[in-house]
Amino acid sequence: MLARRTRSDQTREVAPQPAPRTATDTKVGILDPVRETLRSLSADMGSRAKAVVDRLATELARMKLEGLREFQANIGSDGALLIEWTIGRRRLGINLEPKPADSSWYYVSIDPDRVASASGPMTDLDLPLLLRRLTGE
Amino acid sequence: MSAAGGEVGYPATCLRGIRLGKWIVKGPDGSVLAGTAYEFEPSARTGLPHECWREASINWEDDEKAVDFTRRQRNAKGLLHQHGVGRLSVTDIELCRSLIRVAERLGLERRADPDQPENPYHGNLLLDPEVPIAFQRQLAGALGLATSVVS
Repeated sequence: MLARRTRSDQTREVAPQPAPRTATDTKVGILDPVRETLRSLSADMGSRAKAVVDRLATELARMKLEGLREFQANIGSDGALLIEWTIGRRRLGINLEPKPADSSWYYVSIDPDRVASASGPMTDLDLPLLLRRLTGE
Repeated sequence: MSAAGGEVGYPATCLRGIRLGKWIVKGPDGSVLAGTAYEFEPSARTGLPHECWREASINWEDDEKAVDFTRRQRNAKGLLHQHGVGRLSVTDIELCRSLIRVAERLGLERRADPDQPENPYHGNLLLDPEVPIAFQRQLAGALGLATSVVS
């Protein structure tokens, strides 16, 4: 399982003689755009977002990710954090809203062979299942 | 020109100007758009059909000049769509309507924009503000996924 990144880990990465990147580092890297966005969030939103990123990192560490693009993270005009992972014509979205109870996830596929959609509140977020559907593992 | 498999009276595709580079999601088979590219205007429209609904501006791709026209659109600050143009088919809009189950609560229109009197292509996607926020996010994500960045 992927260990949670700590401040001291991040410091070690920018030291003059860093250790070679490992497969685990690469898996962490796919979430870097989301981690970078965390810095611009309020304390409450940042805390909720970090919990989601940690869950994602744990699940991603179990998967084969070679060749897959990075996650995207954008902050909506209303302050929501919108996390997306797009693979081909499929997308997983996790939306952290200013009001926590409004937060949600969705999955959508417009792949002609597998048109599908699903969504729900964060309390129903089944990351292992959704990531398998997204990546086809 | 009528829609190919879409709504009568519209061309087969519309164009969404890309105002922010972070809207673009690059991939091995071409780029698509993030859901934030389809955030509808927060202000409610007034004095028009679909009163109080929210708009997302598009240009209808009526002819081969529409892409270049959209790329060149300007306002007082410069180019409106500095990062290019995305293309979305009416067929895919219909698919998103059915997938996200918003049906008639997502509308289409052709309407001149008073701020762009020289634009013959202008229209809007329209969204009923009563659609729950979770479905608005999912709809935006699906529309972005269905939008191909024009190279």
